[in-house]
Amino acid sequence: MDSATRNLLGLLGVAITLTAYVLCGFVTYILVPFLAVAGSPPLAGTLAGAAVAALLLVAAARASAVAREQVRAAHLLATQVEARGGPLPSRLHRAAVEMGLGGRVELIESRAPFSFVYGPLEPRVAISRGFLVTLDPDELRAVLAHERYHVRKLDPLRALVGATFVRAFFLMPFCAALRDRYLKGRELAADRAAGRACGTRPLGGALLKAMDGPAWRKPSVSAALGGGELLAARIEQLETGLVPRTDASLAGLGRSALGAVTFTCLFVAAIAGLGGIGAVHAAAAREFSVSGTLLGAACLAPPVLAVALSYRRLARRAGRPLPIGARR
Amino acid sequence: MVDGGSSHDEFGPLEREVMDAVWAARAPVAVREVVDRLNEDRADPLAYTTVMTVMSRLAEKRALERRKVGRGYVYEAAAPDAAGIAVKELLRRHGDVAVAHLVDEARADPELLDRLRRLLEDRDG
Repeated sequence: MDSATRNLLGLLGVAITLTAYVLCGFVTYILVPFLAVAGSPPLAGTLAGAAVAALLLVAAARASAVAREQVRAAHLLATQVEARGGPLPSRLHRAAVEMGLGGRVELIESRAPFSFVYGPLEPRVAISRGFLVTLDPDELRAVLAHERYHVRKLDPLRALVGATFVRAFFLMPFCAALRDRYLKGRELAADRAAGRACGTRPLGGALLKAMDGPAWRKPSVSAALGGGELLAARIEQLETGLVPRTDASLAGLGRSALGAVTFTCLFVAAIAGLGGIGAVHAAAAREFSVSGTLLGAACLAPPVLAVALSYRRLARRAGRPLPIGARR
Repeated sequence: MVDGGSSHDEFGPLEREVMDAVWAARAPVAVREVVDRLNEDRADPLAYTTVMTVMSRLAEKRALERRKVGRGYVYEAAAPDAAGIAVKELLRRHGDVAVAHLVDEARADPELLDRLRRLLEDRDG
């Protein structure tokens, strides 16, 4: 297992710890009163509690499945890039070093025109030879400036975490819309960064060369976002120099609010049905103190701090070139 | 071998031959054209249905794109070589593990491409 994988697993471990804290509410206010009740527990409270438990289990299973799948896919992609890779032509090597991406750019021996950023913890740029040969020096710098933004912002990691949360919070479809808006915003921000560094003309030229071409290029990949909508927004930004507006989906917002209200109602119904806070006090044989509650809440600080420090360390590392031949 | 190189180990031998024939055509092709091309130098000719089955399987794998034209289908390669197909398919299936928007997007709208060309002409002018 390489260091990147270990780091990623560590990060996921922290995320799971945080989730465990959320589950504490369920255990304290639903499970404990349910188990501590003398005689048979109230039917309504039991049913509501079972529904909450089922929803939490489904959310955890979905998040865990998508995280596993994403880690595996990231490894597969890195393997593919390595298998399809070739030595960097000197112009690409020079441009990468000039743009602060030394050691982070890989060439893929393919005539298809593409470039992308991959690797959640040690992001790198992959660019195909088919794309490289079409780009003039300014356009190549614009492409690298665009991808450098994604590298420095750890966008592959953010996308992975976003995908995990979206899958977990399945009761709130607005999360998916928010995630898509966020990714679209990152893409537009990467274009702005590239425009500032190299001008909009080279960026527009590179975009056209990635999108246009012979017929066999067109029926192709659909990336994470709908191609047409994003492309339209990117062109609008190039034309006007302004950030295009993205409207929230009211339908998605409504469905999400419904999901959140349903879950909250179930939670409250389960707590009330099983005797409420009084039942917890009875089970614990003592009342909650303010200091005890604050101390419990303070337990959140170490994992939150660990996540923040890990992210900061990763982001700093992403801003530096890598030694040539560094392990993925 | 015209396109694609010889390293596309995700294809079986007949799939590889079919892909090479499609790449060589450089345009959308019908099954009949591929059959004729494959049988040009073959002592034991392939049946139409065999090639059709292979092409359908390649379309399911998204190595080929299929669309209806008239009463039949035409096929074209999803990318000009095996490496392109492999990487793009991975990005399509696991879009969240990479940030890939300098990739030829699905059927880019010609109107958008015209806008982009006009913008570049304006900047050049």
